[in-house]
Amino acid sequence: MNRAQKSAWFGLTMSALLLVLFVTSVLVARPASQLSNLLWFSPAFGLSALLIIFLRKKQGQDKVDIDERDSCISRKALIAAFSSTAGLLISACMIPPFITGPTSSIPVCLLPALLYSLFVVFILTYSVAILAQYGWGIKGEKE
Amino acid sequence: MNRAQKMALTMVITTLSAFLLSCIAVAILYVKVGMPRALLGFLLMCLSGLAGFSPLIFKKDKGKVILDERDRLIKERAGLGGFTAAFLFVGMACMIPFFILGPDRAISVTWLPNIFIGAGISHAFVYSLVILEQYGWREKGEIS
Repeated sequence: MNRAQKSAWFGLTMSALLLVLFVTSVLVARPASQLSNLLWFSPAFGLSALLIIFLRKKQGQDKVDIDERDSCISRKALIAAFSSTAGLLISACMIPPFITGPTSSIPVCLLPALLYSLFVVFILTYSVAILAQYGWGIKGEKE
Repeated sequence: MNRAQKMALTMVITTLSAFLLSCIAVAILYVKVGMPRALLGFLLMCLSGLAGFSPLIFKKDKGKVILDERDRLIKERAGLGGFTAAFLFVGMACMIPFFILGPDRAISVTWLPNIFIGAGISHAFVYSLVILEQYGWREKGEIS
């Protein structure tokens, strides 16, 4: 398993955990303004980003850190992540006005929740795309 | 200048003109009707959608190679840059009202489609900027 796969597994675990936290918070939050407590989870994002950088750090001078295939896989995963996030953004922005009507209003606390869910979906899709392209198993990719 | 550069330049000019016009409109409306309604002046940003007609204006070249690996790489990079700008815009559009109004207040549901439109415009603008930056801004060097 190479470094990109390790960091993708880490990202997958983190995003799954954060998704569970998000769904639990949405179900439990009464009143809805308590959803803003989700902001307290933002350090988890920072921590995951730092750990991903740490895991991706080159560990030896005699090893090739990244080749053309790796950069192609990374670029494709980025495109998949951006596309899925864009799909979520379109649905989240265009469906509520049609359901509730243009004169209604929404709690402001839903906006950070939207941003939070976009980040989670981005990390989740990126990690899944990386793992799907390299292969999910340990064999075949050396460090 | 090739077709992609011409379309990108059209997008940049149209978006900047629309932004300038909407700022003027907001300033005029602010004097006439006050602040919340003055923001309607930003509807003029929709004029940047006129750049969507540029593929009809700049026709594809016939009998030539119209897209090689370098062009595809440039477009991919520009796409990633555009997406990054769009999500930065979404981040700001979500967090600024939260910090200004507070979590207990409500906001009009029309804010959501506006976030989407703004993200689309910022994506198209930065996409065009990156295209122009990578091909070069001048006419020489790229044959149409």
